[in-house]
Amino acid sequence: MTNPYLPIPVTIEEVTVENDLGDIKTFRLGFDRPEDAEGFQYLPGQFAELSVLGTGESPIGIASSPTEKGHLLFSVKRMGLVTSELHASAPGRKMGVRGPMGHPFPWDRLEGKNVLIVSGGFAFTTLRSAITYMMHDGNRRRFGRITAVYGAREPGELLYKDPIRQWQASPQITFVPTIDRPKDGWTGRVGLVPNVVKELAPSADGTLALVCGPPIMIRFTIPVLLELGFSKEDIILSLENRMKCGIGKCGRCNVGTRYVCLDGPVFTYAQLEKLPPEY
Amino acid sequence: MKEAILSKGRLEEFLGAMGNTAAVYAPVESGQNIVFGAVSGPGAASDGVRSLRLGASNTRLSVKGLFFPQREPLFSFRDDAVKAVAEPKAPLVAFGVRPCDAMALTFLDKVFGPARVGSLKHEDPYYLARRGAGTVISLGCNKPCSTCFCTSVGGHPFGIAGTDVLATELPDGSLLLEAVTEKGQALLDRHAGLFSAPSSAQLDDKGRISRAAEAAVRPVHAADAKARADAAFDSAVWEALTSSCLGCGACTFVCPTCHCFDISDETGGNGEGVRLRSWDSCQYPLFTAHASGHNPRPARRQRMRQRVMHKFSYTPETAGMVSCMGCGRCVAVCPVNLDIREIVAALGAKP
Repeated sequence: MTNPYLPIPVTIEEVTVENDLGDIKTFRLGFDRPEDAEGFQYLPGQFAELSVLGTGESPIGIASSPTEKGHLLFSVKRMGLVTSELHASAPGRKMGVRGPMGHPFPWDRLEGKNVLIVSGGFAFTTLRSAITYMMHDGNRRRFGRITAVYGAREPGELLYKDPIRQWQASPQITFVPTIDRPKDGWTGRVGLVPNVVKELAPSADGTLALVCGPPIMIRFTIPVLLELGFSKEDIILSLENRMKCGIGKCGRCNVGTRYVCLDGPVFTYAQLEKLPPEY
Repeated sequence: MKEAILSKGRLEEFLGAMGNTAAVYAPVESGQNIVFGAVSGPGAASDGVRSLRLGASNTRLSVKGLFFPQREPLFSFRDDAVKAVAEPKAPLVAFGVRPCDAMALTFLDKVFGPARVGSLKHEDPYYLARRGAGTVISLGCNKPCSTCFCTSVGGHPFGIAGTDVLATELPDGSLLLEAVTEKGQALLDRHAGLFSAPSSAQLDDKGRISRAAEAAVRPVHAADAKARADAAFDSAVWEALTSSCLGCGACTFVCPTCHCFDISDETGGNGEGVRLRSWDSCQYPLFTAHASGHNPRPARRQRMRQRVMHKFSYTPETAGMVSCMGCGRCVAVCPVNLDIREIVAALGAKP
């Protein structure tokens, strides 16, 4: 039996400051043991526990795609003990990872479908993974049209500026970044995410929607999607709840009968509608 | 032998003999409480068996702590290097376990074991190692407490779920031992020299005691608790029933099935430390508080609803069983007399 509480040893290879506020950094982690680089099999939508010995652990969505071999990316907002310690860390620091954990986006169902991605703010991380995965040479033809709406308060708060530039220039994806209010120098779209989705009015036909964002964005986006004709089963969301073990033992991330760590974090809107609103 | 008699005078001898190959834990007096303590074998004082208090109604804390300790290191570390702790596989006998507590182990086996319906599977090596190395000898309840309600939640004062050997105290002071599992049978075989065969009168005694005990347990209206709890999720009944809750969490610490834990790092400042897990409680607001400040269960009524729903609605679905064992400890320790029997009975009633 492998011990699920023992972290896999990794080393911080690179730290990237993602936003103007400077409270979100992306950590590129390299595996210390070659067998772990092979053994860490994941798909976009999953998460892992980042472990800093002496400080603790924090569950974070995986921002890299399995097509990006040899390392993992995690974008971490500075919030509490572990994330602050990480923000104070430089390349070369040893740390740990437990995972991958939870269920990924439903890639078997996404196969052959058009994909609409709707995201706001910091929650874009696992969708970066999803887009990178779908845009990868070998994978792109497995999916139909890809449309993405990604919003932030202002331009400096959009994560992953380099890949976004590439996606905007690519004919393989319609990538629409938007900011909440006009800002000098911003020539892109201005408007709240739900409104932009309404304006774009992507066809729901043969399309699954992956939606990750702050609760307020989700609340106003769902009615828009339903109006566009998306079924509740075709709206895919990702939940967050406080976690410790990540493997369904410690008892704190449950929403009714479901554990976010085991049964999620990915749920359809149809599934969530049946659960109590304890998330 | 499947059934054996341990005569009154030979109990200490039996505990001592088991101590030659295992750490033997049994109810002992500790301050004002009866708790599970080492009476024989590794960790026990030389006169450990003298502290035995078998006659006590029930231990303050359940037997779960022997298999899932209140605090335990998951591993230790020095600087950047993780050092695994030794697998806790030392042989252990839990003696004098009440059948409700033994049945609770069948639920914890599901939580910490691999079986979980329709989901990812992970095993907890620490709990499973202790369970694998442990033998449970239950003691049937001749005199159930006023707070007991095991018979309403699938249990019985002489139930055998989760136990390896069931002991019954007979009127002549002897113990009738019945092997329930192969592990229990092996233990009886190992100590066969201490036992005699039961007479038919002694076997009849057991049946009579068991039936009397069953009749003495006061039933609680819990039969359709899941349906009633599900229907009452948004009901004002929760506020009405739990408004006096202090949120102290005592109910969860004494509960034989509550398994929630925290994980935290403890360091000595010299680069050395341990990653610990410690019992935690769903009754504390921090239990579910997000780093952002958002809390899915900010109110005490929501947290008590979680505790009751978890036991009577959620685990019947996720683990195939109600996870309240009817031991009555939470009823006994609650400082404001919240009573889970009343809560369950009131679900579905008009607040």
